[in-house]
Amino acid sequence: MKTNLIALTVITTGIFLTSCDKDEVPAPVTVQTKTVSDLQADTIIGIASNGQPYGSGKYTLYSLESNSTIANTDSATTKWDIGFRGTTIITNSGNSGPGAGGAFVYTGTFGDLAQISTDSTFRTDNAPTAYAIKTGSGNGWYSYNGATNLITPVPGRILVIRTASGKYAKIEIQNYYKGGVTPDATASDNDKLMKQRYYTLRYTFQSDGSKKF
Amino acid sequence: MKQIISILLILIFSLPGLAQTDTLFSKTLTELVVTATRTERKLSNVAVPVQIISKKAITQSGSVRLNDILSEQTGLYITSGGATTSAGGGVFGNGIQIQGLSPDYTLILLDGEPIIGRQGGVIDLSRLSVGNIKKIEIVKGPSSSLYGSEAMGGVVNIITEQAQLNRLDASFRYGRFNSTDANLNAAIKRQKWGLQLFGNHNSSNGFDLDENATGKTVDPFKSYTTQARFNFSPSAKTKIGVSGRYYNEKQDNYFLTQDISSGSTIAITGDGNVKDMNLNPVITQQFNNNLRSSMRFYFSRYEYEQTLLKDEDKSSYYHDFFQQDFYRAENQTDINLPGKNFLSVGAGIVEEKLNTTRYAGKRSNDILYAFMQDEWRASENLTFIGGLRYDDNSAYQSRVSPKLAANYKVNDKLRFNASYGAGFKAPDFRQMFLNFLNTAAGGYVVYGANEITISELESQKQQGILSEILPRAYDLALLMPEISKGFNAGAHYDVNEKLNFDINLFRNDIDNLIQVDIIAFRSNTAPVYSYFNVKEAYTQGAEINSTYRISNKFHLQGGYQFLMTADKADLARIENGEVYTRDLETNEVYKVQKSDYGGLPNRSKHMANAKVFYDNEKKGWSASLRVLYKSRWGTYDKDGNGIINREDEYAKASTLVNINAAKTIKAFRLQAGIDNLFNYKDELNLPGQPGIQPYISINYSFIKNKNNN
Repeated sequence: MKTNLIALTVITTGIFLTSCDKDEVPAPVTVQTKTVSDLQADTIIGIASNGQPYGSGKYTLYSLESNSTIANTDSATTKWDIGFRGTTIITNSGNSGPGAGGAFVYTGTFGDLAQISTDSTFRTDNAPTAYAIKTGSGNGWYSYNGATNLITPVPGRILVIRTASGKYAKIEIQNYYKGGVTPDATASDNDKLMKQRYYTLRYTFQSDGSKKF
Repeated sequence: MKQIISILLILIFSLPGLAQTDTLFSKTLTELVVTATRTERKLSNVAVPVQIISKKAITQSGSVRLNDILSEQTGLYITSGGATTSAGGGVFGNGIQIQGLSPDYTLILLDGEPIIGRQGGVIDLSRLSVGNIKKIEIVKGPSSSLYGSEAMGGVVNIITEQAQLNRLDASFRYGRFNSTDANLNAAIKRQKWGLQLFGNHNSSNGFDLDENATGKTVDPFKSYTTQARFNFSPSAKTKIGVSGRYYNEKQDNYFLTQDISSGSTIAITGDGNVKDMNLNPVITQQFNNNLRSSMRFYFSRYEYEQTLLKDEDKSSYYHDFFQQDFYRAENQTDINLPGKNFLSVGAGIVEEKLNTTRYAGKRSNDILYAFMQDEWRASENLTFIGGLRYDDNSAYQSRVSPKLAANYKVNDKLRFNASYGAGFKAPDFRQMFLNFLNTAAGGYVVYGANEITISELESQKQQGILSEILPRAYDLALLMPEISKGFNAGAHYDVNEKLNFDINLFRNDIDNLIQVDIIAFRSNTAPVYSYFNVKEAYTQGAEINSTYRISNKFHLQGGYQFLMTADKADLARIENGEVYTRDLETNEVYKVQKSDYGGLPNRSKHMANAKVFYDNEKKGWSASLRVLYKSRWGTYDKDGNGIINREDEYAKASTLVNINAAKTIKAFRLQAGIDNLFNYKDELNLPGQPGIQPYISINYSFIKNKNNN
C-alpha cells in the first residue's frame, strides 16, 4: 500500500491538572491535537459488473501513538489502534485484533471532552454484527442522506478510543471526502463515489495513560 | 402558541362595529358546501374550516391545471415536481400540503370519489384540468370520520359541471414553451335528463433551466382528458347519475447518464405514459321528507409505464410498470330525526389491487367500513356534530376515527366554530408490499413490511446474500396506520357589508409516521430497507383570510398562514442538548438551540397572498393582480445532524406576481396574462418553476337559455 501523505498540524495545549497554589509549580501535561487529512479508507478502485463499486476490501490500520498508518501484515499485532474501511471503523479489540482496545461515542464537542468519565463503558468489537463504534447511519459517527447519497460526519460525536496498549485518545471526524470537501448534492454519482472514503479527522492522544486531555 | 392565540383573540374582539347592525349581506351565508358533512349545508352552518374556490375565481386567475389555482390559496403549499430523472428528486409531481401535512395525507376527491395513483405518496395535481370545474371545496383538518384513509390533513373535493342549460363552451390558450390548453364543454339539458361532455388537450414543449445539461429540466408532454356526466330523474324523488372520465398523458424523456459499469456517459431516450380512468354510477332515492338514501359505485384505474432505452443501440435501460385498481360500493342514508337531529349513516366495501414490476406479484387489499354522523341543532344558534367511522381490513391494523364539532352564531355577523377530529392514513401498498432491487442505482433493496420477516433475513444471511443484519430488523411488524389528531378553532366576522375576516387556529398531532430504515446490508455493502411506524410530529399555526369589497368593481383579498412544525423526537434531542452543528465558515462545532430548529423540511413558516380583482360587467372588462409569498423553507440536512437548522439548509423565500386582463365581446372572451411576472426561479429547489410565463386565451360561449322541455 502506498504511504499516504499525511498533513500534520500540531497544536500544543497545556492543561493544568492541579489548581495553582502559590507554592507549587503546576505540572503541565502536554497533549497534542493532530489533524490527519485524506486518510484513505479502502477507496473505490473499480465498479463491478453488477454496478457495485468496490475497493481492495482491506482496512487502513492506524497507530494513534505513532501517528502513522500500519501495514496490513501487522493486523494481528498491537501496533495499530484503529482501522478504517469505508464508513466502518474497527478498534484493536475483541475479534478485530489482539490489543486491549475499545471505544464508545461521546456526544459533545471535541473541546468539551476534557476528561473521560470514570463510569464510561468501552465497547469492544464483535465483527461483523457489532463493532465498538456502531455502524449504520446515525448510529455511530456519520449520517447518510438517501436523497443525495452523501455521507456527513454527525457534528458533536467524538470517538473515545482506548488504544491497543490501553491508553486513551479522542477523535473527531471532520469529513469523509477527498480534500476535506463534501461534493455538492448535484455532483455526479461518479464524483460522489470516487471522492469518498478519504477521512479528515483530528485527534488527541494522551500518552501518560490518564483519561484527561 | 399561547401568545399567538391571545393576540388573535384581542384582534378579533377589538374589531370595530362588532356589537350591532344585523343586515344580511355576505354571499357566504347562502353558499352551499357538501364536503364538510357529506350533505349539502350552508357554509355559515358548517362547523369545520372550509375554503371554497368558485369557477369565477378559476377563470379570473387564468388557471389551467388544478395546482395553478390551489397554489394561490391561503395555507396551501404546493410541493415541487416536474423534474426528470436526470435532474433527480421531485419526480412525483405537484402535491398539496394542508396545515403543514404532506401530500400523502391529503385526500383528493373528484365529485366525491377518491383520485388514485399516488407516486411516492403524491397525487400529481397537474393531472387534473380545471376546464370543467364548477367549484373546489377544501376542508381543513382531519376528516377520516367521514372519508377514511388519507383524510388526515384535509380533503380537496373537485366538483365538476353538471348540465344545467343547453350550452357550448370552447376555449384555447397559448403560452410560453409552446404550451397549449384546449377545452370543449357541451351540455344538453332536458326536463328529465342532462348530459355534460368535456374534453381537454394540454401540451407543452417542456423547458430547460440548465442550458449546459443535455436533456430538459421538464420534458415535453401532452395529455388528454375526457369526461361525461349523465343524470336522469325518472321521478321527482329518484335521481340517477353516471359519470366517466379518461385521462392520458405522454411524456418524452431524453437525458444523459453515467453508465455505472463502464463509467462512460450515455444518452437515454424513452417515454412515460400515465393513464387514469374512472366510472361512477350513483342512484339517490328521496323516500319522504325525512329519509333519503344513495348507492354509489366507483371504479378507478391508474396506470403508469416508463420505458427507457439506450439511445445508441435502443437496448433496454429501464422499465417500470405500475397499475392500481380501486373498486368501491357504498350506501349513505340520511334521516331527519325528532329533536332537530339529522343523522347520516353509511357503509361500504373497497377492493384495491396493485400490479407492478416493483412487487413480487399482484397484491390486493379489502376494506370494510361503516360510519355515522349526527348533526344536532341544539338551538337556533348552536349546532353540534358528532361522527364516527370504523375501517377494517386484512393487511394492517383496523381503525376507529371520531369527530366532534360545534358551530355557534353569536349574531348575523359573528360566528365561532371548533372541532376535534381524528385522521388516519393506511400504510400504502409500497410500504406493505414493495419488493424492489434497484439495479440502476447501487443495487439496494427495499421490502414492504409484509414482504420480509426476520427469519427470511437470517436465511438470506446464511446463503451469503446479506453480510449483516441490523438490530432494527428485529422490530419488523405489521404496520399500523399513520394517525393524526387535529384541533381547529375559528371565527368568521363580517365587519360590514364590505369587509369580513376569517380566522382559524389549528394543531395537528401526528403519530406512527412510517419511515424507511436500514435493516441489513447486502454482501456487496448495499443497504436493505424496510418500513416502520416510528415518527411523531406536530403542525400548528393560524390562518387568516379577509375580503374587502372596495366598490362593486374592485375587491381585495388577503390571506396569511403562520405555521410551526416539528419532528417530536428531533425536538426532544435538541432539548436534551444532543444535537450539534458545524459552522458553515469556521467549521466549529456547537450546540443547536431550540430556536434554530427549522421544523419539518419543505414547509414555510409564513405564507401570504394579496389579490386585487377588477370586474366591470357593463363594459366587459376584468383584470386581476395576485401576489403570492412564501418564506424560506427547509430543503435537506447538510451538516449531518439530521435536522434543518443551518442557513444553507433552506431555500430562499419566494414571491410570485401574476397579472392578467380580459375583455368580453358578445360570446367571446379574450384574456391575456403573465404568470410569474418577475421571472422568479430556483433551479435547485423548484425545478418545476420555469420562470415568467406570458399567455393569451380565447373563450367562446354559446348558451341556449330556453330549456327544450
